[in-house]
Amino acid sequence: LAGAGTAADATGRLGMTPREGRAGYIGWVAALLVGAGVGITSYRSVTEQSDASHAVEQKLELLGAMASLEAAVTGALASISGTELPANSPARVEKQGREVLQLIGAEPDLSRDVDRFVRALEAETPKAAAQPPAATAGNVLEAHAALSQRLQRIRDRETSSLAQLRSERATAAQRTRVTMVVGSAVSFALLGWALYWLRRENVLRLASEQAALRARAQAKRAHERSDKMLHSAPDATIVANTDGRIVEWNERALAVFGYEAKEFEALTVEDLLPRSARPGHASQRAGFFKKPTARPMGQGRDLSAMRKDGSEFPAEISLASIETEDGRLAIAAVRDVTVQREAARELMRQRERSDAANRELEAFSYSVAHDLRSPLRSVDGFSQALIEDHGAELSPGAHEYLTRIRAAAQRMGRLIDDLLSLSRVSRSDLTRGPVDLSHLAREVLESLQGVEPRAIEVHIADGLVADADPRLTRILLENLLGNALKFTSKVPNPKIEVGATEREGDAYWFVRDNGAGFDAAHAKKLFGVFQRAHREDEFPGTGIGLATVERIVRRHGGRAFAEGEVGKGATVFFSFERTGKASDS
Amino acid sequence: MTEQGDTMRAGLILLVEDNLDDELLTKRALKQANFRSNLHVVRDGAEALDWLSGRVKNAEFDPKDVSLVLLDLKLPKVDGLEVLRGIRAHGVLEHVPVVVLTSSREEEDLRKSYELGANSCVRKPVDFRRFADTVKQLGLYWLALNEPVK
Repeated sequence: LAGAGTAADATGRLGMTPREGRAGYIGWVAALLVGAGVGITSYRSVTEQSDASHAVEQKLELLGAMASLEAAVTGALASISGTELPANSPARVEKQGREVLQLIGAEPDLSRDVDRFVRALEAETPKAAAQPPAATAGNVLEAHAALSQRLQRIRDRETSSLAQLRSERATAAQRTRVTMVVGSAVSFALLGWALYWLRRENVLRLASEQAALRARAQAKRAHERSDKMLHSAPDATIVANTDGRIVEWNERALAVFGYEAKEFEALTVEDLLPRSARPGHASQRAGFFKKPTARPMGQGRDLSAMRKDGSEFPAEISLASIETEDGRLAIAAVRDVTVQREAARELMRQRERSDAANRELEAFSYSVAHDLRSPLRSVDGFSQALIEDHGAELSPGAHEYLTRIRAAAQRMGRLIDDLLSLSRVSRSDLTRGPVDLSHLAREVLESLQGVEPRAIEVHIADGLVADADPRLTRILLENLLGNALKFTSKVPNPKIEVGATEREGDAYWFVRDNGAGFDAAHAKKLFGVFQRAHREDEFPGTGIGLATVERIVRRHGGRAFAEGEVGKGATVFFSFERTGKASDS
Repeated sequence: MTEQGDTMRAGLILLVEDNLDDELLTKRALKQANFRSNLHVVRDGAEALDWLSGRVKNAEFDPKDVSLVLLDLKLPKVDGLEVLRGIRAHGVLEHVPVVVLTSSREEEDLRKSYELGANSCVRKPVDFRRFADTVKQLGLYWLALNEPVK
């Protein structure tokens, strides 16, 4: 599809311009015209020359005839003045005269002069014996003189005419030669030029044809490539035009939808939708073509598609658009996501089950709070009442037992309270906001120390602001600072520090003390529920505090860990942001 | 009730509590704090509402005399919140101080209690000494310091 324009481009780029192509033809035509001109000119020259030659011959014949006439005249004159007079003299002159006149055309003066001379001769001939020659010779001589004069004038005229004709003939011959030579030369030159252009044109045409062939081959390869891509695409791929008609598809599409190729041709995309999704799809299709960006179809909805047999399957459909010679087309990649959607549904079911279990646990915790604490209060309260009201009757041993009963009841009360607190941390909504850790730490520490604070060296860095849930952050600090206070209760110079630091490139807040510390080997266990690093008689506690801290930072997406050494103190690091190690902690 | 502690105003404390142990312990704490007030106990929500509505007459006690209500939220039959609603709707007890005593720290309970007009919410400690102290503090505050509407 992509290579469709390449062939045409190549032709335009490699082919001749129209001007170049015309030059050859112009050459040919010019050569033909010049050739024809030369032919016509030569023909005319030759004709002219031949006409001139004919005229010259006529002139020569006339001059010959005139010479014969003169000879006849001279002969006749001699016969009169001489001894003998051939009887046929006048007739001979007359005959010659007629010949000349015939050749010369209309020449009335000559005709008259010949006639006069002939008649003068005839007048002389029958009376020759009877009349004296001198008397008669006068008429003949006179006629002869006129005739001779006339003939002389005509000869002069014809002779000069002959010379002119001859010169004209020579000129015409010269012109013919020049015309033929120059014309042929020009014609040949033009033919050569035309041949050159035609050859050149031929070469160019050949080159452009080859280029076009190459381009076509390239386009064909490109088409085959895109065809292959279409057909080997892992998803069912369908190409449709703006009317929704399916114009292209791959094998996978046929397999997924269960159609034969020839059936597919007659379909529109609507035919592949479940019946419920068909109304309105045309307008959605129009909407896509209006803003044809590549995108997944029906975002946020579970899409389905329909096979030929009418069965439906959950589908994931990605759309893209291409501009082609046949107009805008939409490409849809359809993926059967039955397995994925089933998996998602299963996940959802499991999640619902686990949510239900959690809710049950919450309800349980709630009743634990109420129902377990009441009897504990009774145990403690009546033990105390026994001591108060009947103390005198009791042995010291009984007193001790009652004290132990009360301690145990109270400890259990604390355990329940801490467990509830932990459960509340998990359940409550998380509302992030800026929390002034410095201020909050001071406040919490103050309230934990009560009205008679111990002398403790406290360093709380200024301007510690965390993005966290304020209420949960308070619970976190209550636990951490509570621990710090508890574990520094037996050291001579207790020190508590709150600040910000960095560990392995991640930012952490920390609470540090110089108290009892713990064995680094147990660092990880500390954050588990009921995990304790100290014996109850050393430091009382429920083992839930750090588990609560851990749960609070987890809920924020952060992380908590501890560093410590027995007898040297402990530091608990925590963050509310996702850190590099948050995922594997 | 002894005659000690003259600063305490005489009055009737209404305890709504289903747990007999807690009732006993509360009485003991009040006694230790030397309150002169009388204590009337109702053991479930329904009884409390009946008593409030006057359906059950008691010659000894009159709602007019009640100067403090100690109300447990978790009650059989009708829960404490309903009782609280009934108290606030009661013409005579409308302005009587009500302290909600609870075992849990459930925020939802606290929120609803205050919404319905509880004056205070207190969690009952397990440690009896602290419990006794709490009851004493409550009595001191609500019966001595606090100025009720007459």
